[in-house]
Amino acid sequence: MANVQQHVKQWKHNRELVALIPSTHPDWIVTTAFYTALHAVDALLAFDNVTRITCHKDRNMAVMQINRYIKIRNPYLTLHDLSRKVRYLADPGAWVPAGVIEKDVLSGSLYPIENSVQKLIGQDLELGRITLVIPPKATGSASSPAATD
Amino acid sequence: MSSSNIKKKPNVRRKPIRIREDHDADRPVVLHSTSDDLFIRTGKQVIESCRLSIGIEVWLDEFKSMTDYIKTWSADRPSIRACFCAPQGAKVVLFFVPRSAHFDFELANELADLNAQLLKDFSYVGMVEVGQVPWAEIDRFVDIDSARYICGERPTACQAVET
Repeated sequence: MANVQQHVKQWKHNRELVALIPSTHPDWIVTTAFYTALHAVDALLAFDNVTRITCHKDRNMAVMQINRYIKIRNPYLTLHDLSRKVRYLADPGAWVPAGVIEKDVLSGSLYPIENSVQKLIGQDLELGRITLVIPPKATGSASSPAATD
Repeated sequence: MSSSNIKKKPNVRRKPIRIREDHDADRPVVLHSTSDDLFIRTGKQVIESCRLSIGIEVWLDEFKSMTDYIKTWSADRPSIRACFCAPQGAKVVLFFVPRSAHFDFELANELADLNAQLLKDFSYVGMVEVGQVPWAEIDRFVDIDSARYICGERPTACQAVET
């Protein structure tokens, strides 16, 4: 069973990836944000010696039934639901528009989980806000070889 | 004694057949059905079957109470377009369709509260998972034909893309 620090390491590792995914791919930002939150929650569960968590169902049950995790519950369940569905959609951008990532996915869901976990495990990881990658706009036809014909 | 004679005997005068778990656990019990099927069970199996039947009845009652509660809960929330329910492995999954074409974060917050409440108030049902699915791609997640309709609009079968 992984310990707190191993989960913290993977939490930060996944978090770094969130910042590298272009905002044109909100579905994968959501998915990576969820797995960032998952390791934050697993760090907390390891800290509290909550064992026998072997699947999402067990983890969700723990998050819902342990009063100490009340501030984590709603944002975690929201991210879980969102990430489990968005990957299978033919039009994920309609379900999770890029415009909601900063406000609802990061500020509204991931950060509250991270802040609460840090308090509960007594560690300040000095996590900054995630700066999303905004890809440069696709070059117009003026710069494409075809346009110079 | 012929079977016709047995049928004529009024039930009130007949002694019950008693199966005691402590004495009859290994005792064979032979059951003759009217369709000539013959069932041979041990006393223990007969008692376990009765327990299971009671368990299923209690589960169904609690499940019905839960779906009634969800129906009322949903009626107060105009952001909900429809709700369906389906078993998924050992859990019951509730699929809520928001009225918006995108994931509704405010509704998600309320659904998380609902999820925790259902686990607490309808614990006999077991694990319940609550989530949102888009109307336009509902059939990616729910088999509408076999899912239990709870409330709201009903999509047409095999709906692939909203028009």
